[in-house]
Amino acid sequence: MNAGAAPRYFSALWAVIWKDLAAEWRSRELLSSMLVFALLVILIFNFALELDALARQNVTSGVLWVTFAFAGTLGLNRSMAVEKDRGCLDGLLLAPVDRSVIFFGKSLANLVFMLAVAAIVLPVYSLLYNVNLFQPGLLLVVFLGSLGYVTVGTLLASMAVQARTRDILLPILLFPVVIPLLVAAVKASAGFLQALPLEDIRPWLNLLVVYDVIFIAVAFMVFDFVVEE
Amino acid sequence: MDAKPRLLKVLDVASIALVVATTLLVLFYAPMERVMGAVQKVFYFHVAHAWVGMLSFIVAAVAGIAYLRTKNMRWDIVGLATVELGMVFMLIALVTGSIWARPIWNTWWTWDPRLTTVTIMELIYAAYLMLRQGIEDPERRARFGAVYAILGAVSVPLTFFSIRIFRTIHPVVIGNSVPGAEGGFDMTPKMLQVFFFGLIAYTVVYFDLLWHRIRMGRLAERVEQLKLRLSQ
Amino acid sequence: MEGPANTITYLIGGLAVVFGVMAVYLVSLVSRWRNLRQDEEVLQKLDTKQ
Repeated sequence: MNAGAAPRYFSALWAVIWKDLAAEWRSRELLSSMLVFALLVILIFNFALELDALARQNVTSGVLWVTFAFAGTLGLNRSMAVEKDRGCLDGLLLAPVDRSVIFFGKSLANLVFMLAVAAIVLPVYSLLYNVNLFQPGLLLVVFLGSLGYVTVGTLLASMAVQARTRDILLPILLFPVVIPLLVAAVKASAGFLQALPLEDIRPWLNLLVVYDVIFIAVAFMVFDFVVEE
Repeated sequence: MDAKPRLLKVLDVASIALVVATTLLVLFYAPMERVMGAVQKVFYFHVAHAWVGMLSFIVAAVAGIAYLRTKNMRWDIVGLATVELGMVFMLIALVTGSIWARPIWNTWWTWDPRLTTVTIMELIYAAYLMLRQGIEDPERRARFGAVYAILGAVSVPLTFFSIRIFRTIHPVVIGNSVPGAEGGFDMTPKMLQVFFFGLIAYTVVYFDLLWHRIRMGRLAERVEQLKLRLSQ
Repeated sequence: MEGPANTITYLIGGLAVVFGVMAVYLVSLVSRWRNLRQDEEVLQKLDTKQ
């Protein structure tokens, strides 16, 4: 890469992210559906698992991550489908910039959406159940978990959206592969919420980081094959 | 073009012989386990099939990488063949695992890391097939299949670890909470011999069936091409 | 001393699964192969006619 390439890469990256964010800000379809969905899931859990205060403590992290996983799937599907339907993907591919920009741009935009949903779900859950979810440890886990989820999810959504059975296919492809991430995220979150000592939480955090690193690397190597037309 | 190669015929005979031999060894040579009784013998088949299921997974990922590098359709045929076979072997491994668990721990299922990981692998196999089914273009189908096979293979060891760590902190609650929930019994030398024989035997069976399935894949490809040509 | 548990029925069940499922799969392979061969022959005939 020559000297001018790096800033060009980043400005292209920013352009891709900004396009998605700006488009979403104008219509707010994606965010609002993810949000409403997430809140409904919390509501359903409230009735499905009639819990007393003590039981709820054990189950909070699981409920949270199931909510994030399902709402995240919704967001991933929609963001790729919009792209495909409007034919924007072809336009992006013609741009004179490294293909990976598209992938990372999309992933980062999806990450922003997922974190935005978390930013609303966490306070709502805190209020409804009188739990303080705003601990730095928990927020770290939410970030790491969302990062991995969005990396694998964007990759798989790019494939799923081109299949006939697009909507149902993404969860089927995604969930089995993302299990280690979810297990680690739930356990790490629970650890922080129950104020366990850091050595107990450490293996889960390690697993999260390892998962993220491995899959970001794999996605980087493989994305080209998913987008080339 | 279609005559069965001689080596394949030999492999067929070898496979059948090995399966028969394994069965006889399991039934008559392997000793009866002291506590569990006859059902422990299912274990030999269970592990052999699970091993082949895992081998298939690796072959699928390797075929995926090979396809992405060479763009040669041959690798796609291998990938599909091994996933299909893997599903069958894994299914047998799953059900026999369950059958083995039932009389011993009084439950049809234990959430131990190995059995759970096997289930997840089976789901990834199924997802692979569903992904392929939803795509018309053969080249794209091959490409996406390859990518998913690689992703799946990378995730499996991580899945196994995550559940393992999970289990050491939360021992099996459902059914018997004895720490031997992973299948604890000591293997005598005779048992070990039968164990390894079974593994080797079914590995041979796998390669035999894989070859057959690949041949069928090539035949299917020829039929597709004929159809395409005739419709033009 | 207590002998081993009588679990012979489970052993039979296990063997039935091992051989039964494999048999079903092999049958499906054979039948799919036959269908494909028939298709190939028909298509080849049509092809040479053209």
